[in-house]
Amino acid sequence: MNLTESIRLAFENLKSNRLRSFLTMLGIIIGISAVITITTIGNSLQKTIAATMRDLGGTNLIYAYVDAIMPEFETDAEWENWEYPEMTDEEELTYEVLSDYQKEFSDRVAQVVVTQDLGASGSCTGDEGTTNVRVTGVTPGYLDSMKVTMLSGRDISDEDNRQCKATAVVSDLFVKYAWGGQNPIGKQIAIQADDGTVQKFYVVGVYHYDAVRMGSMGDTTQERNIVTQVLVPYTYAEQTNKANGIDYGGIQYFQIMAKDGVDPTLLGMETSAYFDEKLYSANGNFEMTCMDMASELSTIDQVLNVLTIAISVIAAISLVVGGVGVMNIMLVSVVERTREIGIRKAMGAKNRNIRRQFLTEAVVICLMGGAIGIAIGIFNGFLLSKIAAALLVQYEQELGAALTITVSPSLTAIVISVIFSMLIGIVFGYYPAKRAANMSPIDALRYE
Amino acid sequence: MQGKNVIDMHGIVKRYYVGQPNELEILHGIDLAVTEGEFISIVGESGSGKSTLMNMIGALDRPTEGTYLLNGQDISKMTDEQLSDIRNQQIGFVFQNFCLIPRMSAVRNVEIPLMYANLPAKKRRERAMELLDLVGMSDRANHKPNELSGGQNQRVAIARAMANDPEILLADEPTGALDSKTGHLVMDIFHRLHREQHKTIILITHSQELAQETQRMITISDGMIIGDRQKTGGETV
Repeated sequence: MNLTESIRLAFENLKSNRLRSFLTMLGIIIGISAVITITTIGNSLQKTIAATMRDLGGTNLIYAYVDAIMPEFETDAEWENWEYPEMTDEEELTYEVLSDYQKEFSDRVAQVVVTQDLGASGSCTGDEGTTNVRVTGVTPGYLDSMKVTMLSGRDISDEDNRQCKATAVVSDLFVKYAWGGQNPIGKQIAIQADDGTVQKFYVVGVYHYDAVRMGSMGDTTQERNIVTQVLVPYTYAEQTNKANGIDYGGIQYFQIMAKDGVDPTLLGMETSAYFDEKLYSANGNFEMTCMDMASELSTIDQVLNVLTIAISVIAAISLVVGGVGVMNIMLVSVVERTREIGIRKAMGAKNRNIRRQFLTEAVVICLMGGAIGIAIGIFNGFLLSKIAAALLVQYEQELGAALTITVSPSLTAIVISVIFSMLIGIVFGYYPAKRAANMSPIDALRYE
Repeated sequence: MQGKNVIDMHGIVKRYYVGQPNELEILHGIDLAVTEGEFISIVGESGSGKSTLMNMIGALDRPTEGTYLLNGQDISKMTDEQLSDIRNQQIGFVFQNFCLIPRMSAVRNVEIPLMYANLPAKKRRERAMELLDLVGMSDRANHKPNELSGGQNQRVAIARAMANDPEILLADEPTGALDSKTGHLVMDIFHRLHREQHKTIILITHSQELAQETQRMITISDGMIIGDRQKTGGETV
């Protein structure tokens, strides 16, 4: 009597007791589906985050910002009385200091990106018409970091920034509606701010407008009314803002793109140390903080892992309860089939034949429960990931990256689930099977 | 001419609850020899010990004392595993209440002993169909026991008993659950198997009428053989 035969007999018996078999499996189904659901969601989320991060600049991206060092507050009053420290002129992070940093770290830093909005939005007039724009001061590489493509001309350059030139890079939408599609490079545009002042810039380049990457503003239902960005040198924006009485106190925030193969966490730490030493060591009021995507990602991973472990523990309890249910039913089944055991023994079945038959049945129940659980788990994971995607889509523009949810069940979890359900079958099926095997054939035959 | 002894029992004693206050001796020293190809009946009232004797002959149980040689092999010293093989290969059981497995079709029931004999599935099916044909049940091969009459079920059970071509057919009240007409049909099959296939057949019954059909009648009472009569040789004890 081989294994195929045992499996066939097991299915025969399960089929003759459909409802009971299903109820027995329920504990296993719930346990396994819970594990698969959570691991599918976790896995999908991890993949989605990783993909989004890659889209945003990948794990090479480091965010750096200047912030005041807060003392340890003993009481609420201390906290309420604490005042944000004044920043001295020496402490201000200027474009020049940042350029020095970039030069010094040029072996590891690919790009440093700073932006500053120039006042509020305003209208901009070209040859053919007027369209609403938002003016943003940027450093070279801003468009690149946003993964926006240049259509013609050039990006804002280092020279533009150093010399504080009135140059501008405009969107293709702007070209379409303000210039009637003509090439605007080398032409002058006039931007009228809300307060009435007019600034003039020379157009040096055109980029392709991308709602997701650039963020859309204004009435997006009509292409004509979309407010696109006009990019000018950062220094020009800073200077103009200062002239208008808006002083941000130097660069407060910038992005660093590490070169490939550079450890972003280490680079972040060295960057912080560099600026702390160069700018803030005298007064000790401020510090530079760097956040890199790699460590952010690992934090998210850790949270997901803790969640997965927590759910898995609950699922394990459910599986043990399910296993006890299987054992219970197997014991009932052994008693019910006492006569059958007697008949089989009279026909020459050995103890091990009987043991294997009942053990196989328990394993088949558990494996079937496991398989159904896996199917339900994948379905749940798929559904919940899709719901999450639908909820997250509204943040796409805020994030400046496309969110594509890839649902992918965790293969490891599936393999472990299959092995685990088999183990439950063996562990909880062994005792009933042994009891069946050790029955005396005479007593079993006489059993009514 | 006398053939060789298939069954050779000497001083068989069977006790239950050995060493306990309620110790019970069922068989008090049975001597029994059955030669190859004999058709015998063991007759006795209920409680006479005939069922215990049957279990002993059928290798379902071991005697407490005495020796039992089945085809020259000493059963009383065998392991459970060896007894299983003996039951599988050398003995075919036919029970009063058929003892078919209800959720399996007739042919699958007949296949059970073949399965434990490790016959491959295809050969198993061929042999089972052959056996069903032998008892005239091949057209009902795929019916389950509850779809068959008592007589039909008993014929399937006989086919199953014959599965591994055993030397001995051990029938315990095979007509007990049948009306007299179907009972005769079943008895006819035993006679045919005896005549055509030279099986040693042991019929356990309480019915004198049925016992008269056999060549030799052994009467058991209170755990002792009290009569052993050959049909054509008169009393031997």
